[in-house]
Amino acid sequence: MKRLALIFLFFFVALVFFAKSAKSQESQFDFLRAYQDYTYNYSIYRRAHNDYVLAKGQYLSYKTLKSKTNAYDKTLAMLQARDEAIKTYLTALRLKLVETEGVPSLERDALFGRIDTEVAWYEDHRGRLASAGSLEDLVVNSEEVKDKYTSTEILYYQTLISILAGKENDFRERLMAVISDIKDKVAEIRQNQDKNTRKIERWVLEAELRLTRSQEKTFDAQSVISELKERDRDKFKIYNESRELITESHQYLKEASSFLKEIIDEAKTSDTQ
Amino acid sequence: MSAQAVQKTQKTPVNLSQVGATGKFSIGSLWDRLPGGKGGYVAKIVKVVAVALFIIFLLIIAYAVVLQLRKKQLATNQLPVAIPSITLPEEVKPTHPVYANDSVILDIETDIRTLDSELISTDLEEANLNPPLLDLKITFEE
Repeated sequence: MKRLALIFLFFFVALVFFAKSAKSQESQFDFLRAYQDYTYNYSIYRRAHNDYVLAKGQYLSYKTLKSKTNAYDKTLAMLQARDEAIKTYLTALRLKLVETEGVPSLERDALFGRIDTEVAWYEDHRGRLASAGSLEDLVVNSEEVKDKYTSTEILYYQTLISILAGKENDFRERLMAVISDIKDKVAEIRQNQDKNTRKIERWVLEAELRLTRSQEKTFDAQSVISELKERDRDKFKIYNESRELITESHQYLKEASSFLKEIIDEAKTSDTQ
Repeated sequence: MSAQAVQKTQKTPVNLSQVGATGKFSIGSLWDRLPGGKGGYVAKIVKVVAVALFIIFLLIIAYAVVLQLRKKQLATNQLPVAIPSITLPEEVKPTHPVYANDSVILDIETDIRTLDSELISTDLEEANLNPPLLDLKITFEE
C-alpha cells in the first residue's frame, strides 16, 4: 500500500512538472519567438525558390523526365515553404498585435478572426500540395495562392496600420492622463493663489489641441487603409500613404509632450522669476 | 508884366496833374514822369526793387521774432541745480518657487520625460515587419 502511494505521488509530481513546463513554453511563444520563426521560414523559402528557378531552367532546357521530376520536387518544396512563410508571418503579426497596447479590443478581435482564418487556409493548402500528381497540378495549386494572396495582403497592411495606430492611441492616452494630472494640480495652485495659472491653462489647451490633431491623423490613416481593395495594384503605396499619416500623428504627440515639459517648467517657477 | 509875356506864359500852360492837382508834390506825378511812363522799364525796375526791399524787411522782422523766441526758450530750458537726495532701493518681491520641489509636480515631470523619450525612440517604420516578397507567378511555359 505504501509503495502504491509512493508511485501515485511520483506520477502526480511528474504530471505537475510537465504541465508547468508546457505552460511556460506556451507563454514564451511571444512576438520575438514568432518573428524568429518567420525569418527562419522565409530564409527556407528563399533557398527553395532559388532551387526552383534552377530546376525550372533545366526542365525548360532539356525537357527530360528526370528534369521534370526534379522540377516537380523543387516546386513542391518551394510552394510548401511559401505557404509556411505566409503562415508564420501572419502569426508574427498576430503576436505583435497581442503585445501592442492601445488597439481597441473590438478591432483586435476582428483582426484575430481574419488572421486565424487565413492561417487555417494556408495550413490546409500546404497539406494539399503533396497530393498534387504533376507539375501542372502544382501550377494550379500555386494559382490558388495567387488568387488568395490579394486578400491576405490587405490583411497584412490593415494589421500593420492597426499596430501603429494602437501605439499612437497608447501614447495619446498616457499624455491625456498626464494632462489630467496637470489640470488637477493647476486647480490646486489656483485655489491656493500661489501663482497666476492663466498662462499654464492656456498652454494646457495648446497641448490638448495637439492631441486632437494627432487623433484626427490616426483616424485618417485608418480610413485610408480600410479602403484598400483587392483590385488595387500598388497596395504597398497605399499602405505607405497611411503610414505617413501615422507619422504626422506622431509628430503632434511629440509637440504635445514638448509643451507639457514647458508647462511643468513654468509651474515650478514663481511668477516674479 | 507886358501883355506879350502873359500870352507867352499862357501858350505853355503847366500840366497840373504832373505836379499835383493842389499844386503839391505827389508820387503819382513822379510815376508819370518816369521815362517810358507807367509801363516803362524804369517803372518795372522800381517795382522790383520795392518788392525786394519789402521782402528783406519781412525777413528782418521774422529773424527778430525768432531771436526773441529762442531767448525765451533758453531761459526756460535751463537745467535745474542737482540736489543730492537719498533714493531707497526698489522693493524686491520674494521669488520663492513654491512648486519647484512639489512631489506631484516632480512625479508628473518624470512621467513626461519617460513618455518623451519613448515617443522619440519608438519605431514607426516597423521595417522588419514589411510583408515577405514572394514569387506568385509559377509557370513552366517558355
